[in-house]
Amino acid sequence: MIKARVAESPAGWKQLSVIQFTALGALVIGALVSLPFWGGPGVMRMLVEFLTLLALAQLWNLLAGYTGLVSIGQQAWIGIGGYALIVAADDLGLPIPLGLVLAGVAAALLALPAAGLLFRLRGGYFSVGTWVVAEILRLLVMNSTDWLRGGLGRTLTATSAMTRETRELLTYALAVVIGLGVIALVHLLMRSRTGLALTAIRDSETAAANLGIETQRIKLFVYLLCAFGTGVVGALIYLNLLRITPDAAFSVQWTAFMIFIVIIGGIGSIEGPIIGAILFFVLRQFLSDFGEWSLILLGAIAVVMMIFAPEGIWGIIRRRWQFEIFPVHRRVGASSGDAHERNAWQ
Amino acid sequence: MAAPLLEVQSVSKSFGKLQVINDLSFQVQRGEALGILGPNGAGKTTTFSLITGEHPVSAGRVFFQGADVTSLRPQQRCRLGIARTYQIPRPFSGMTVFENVLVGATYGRGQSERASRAFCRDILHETGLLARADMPAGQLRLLERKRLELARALATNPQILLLDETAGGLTEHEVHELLDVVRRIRERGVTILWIEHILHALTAIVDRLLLMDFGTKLLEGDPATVLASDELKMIYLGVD
Repeated sequence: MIKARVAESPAGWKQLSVIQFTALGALVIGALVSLPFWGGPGVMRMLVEFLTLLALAQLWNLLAGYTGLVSIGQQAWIGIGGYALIVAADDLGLPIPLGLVLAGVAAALLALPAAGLLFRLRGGYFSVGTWVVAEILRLLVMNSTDWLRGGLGRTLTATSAMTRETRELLTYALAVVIGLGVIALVHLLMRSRTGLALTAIRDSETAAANLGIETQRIKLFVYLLCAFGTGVVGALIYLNLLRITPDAAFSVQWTAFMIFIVIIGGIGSIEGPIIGAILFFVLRQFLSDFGEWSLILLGAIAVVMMIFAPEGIWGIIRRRWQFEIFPVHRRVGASSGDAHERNAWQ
Repeated sequence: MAAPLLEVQSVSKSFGKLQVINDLSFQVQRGEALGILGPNGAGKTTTFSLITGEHPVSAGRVFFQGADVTSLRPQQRCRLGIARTYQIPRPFSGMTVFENVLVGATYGRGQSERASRAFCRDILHETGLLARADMPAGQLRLLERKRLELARALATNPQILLLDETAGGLTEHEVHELLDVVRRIRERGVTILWIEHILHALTAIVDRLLLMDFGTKLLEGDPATVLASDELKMIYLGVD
């Protein structure tokens, strides 16, 4: 089973100053916002895919890497999100952005009863349980032959009134907002009091409960939040792909990608999934010539990584250069090291 | 006499067919230090888990500050002022030492992070961990992990502190350092319930001793009487 291993982060590590961090952020946001004016539609399509994978990986990392809830059933919420968008936009005639929000709400609403069952399970049993939930949802959609057209799937038609350019621009804009939004959300959450509780629950749920943390409530909150986020991203994916089938939308491959990205990049950090997503993207382009072998190669890379560098690429980088971009740890500060205090116990 | 701070009343606990605690009753007065002695498997640690609410009792009641807390969850009992340490330390390994203590202060004591910083610093200073504050807790040595257990429990601002073999595995010198810390905690008015096999450490602190075996109380009284008792000799030396 995958065990969340977190790269250590001792005191005195270099961080970006507020100005540097703002500059870096402005540069990234500026590049993404201005891209439609200088990049072609091909680049935009690629970035939509990249940003959706990045958002998915960040959400999986929040769930598994920071809270210790190792789900292998996140495809459930991608499928629900995708179908919810099509129902909202095509059947109910609602605007696309509202459809995305409703997709998240639908996923969270279904995640609530699922959590009621899953939270009775621990560790590996929880993980398998999440996959079972995803399979149940796939079969339910499969059996809705009338409304959701079962195994045939459905096609998003609400956007056919738009020109291709408008649709692609809308998809891109939503992808940028969601991709950056998820990073900001995870970072703010981990720096809040709740973030403190999440890592505590991950490291020892019993001790966390004994120190006053409402473990069940906080786990439920994170589980629902990640279902909501993954549902929104699922809707975005199918706004981009237009065509949905239960087998593709509820495929465990989605979660396999999330796990790959997070493991390769570095679990339990925000930088990790960013690096992992870039690497995954590059690798996939290179390996696409290998056909079926590409998945085997990706899997092999992940296995080698887990054995030799369980802290991921970012873990290696931050240990080597003692550097963080998104620090989440609280520090006491410089005075903690002075000799007088070190000897207090003696 | 005023109502006891903690009262365990005819408590029993079974895991399946295995009865671990059998009709156990005792009281701890406010400001008192009570030591619990007994061989391995006597039910000492289970007694702690019943007091903190980690395990529900099978029968009996637990009272804290005169109120029945039997049906309360561990989180609620923590906020009322019951804190414990673990025999095998359970640090939050991926968090810094400071953050470990911060968890106790923010969630157990119910203070904001900002308001807790100085308080946590003081606790780290008192428990000798300040120099380790920014280090991941997973990197601590055994003695430091034991100190962290203590620091984290103290951060919840407890009325009663349950210590589970805190001196176990320490060198003689380290035991003396630990005793100084426990004494200071007592002086602040914290009531202490301490499971310990290291007798001289226990008797240096506690006012009374409780001797347990097979999940039940054999004897309770002042340390000299309990240590000289036939029951203790039976258990530890196997003589009648």
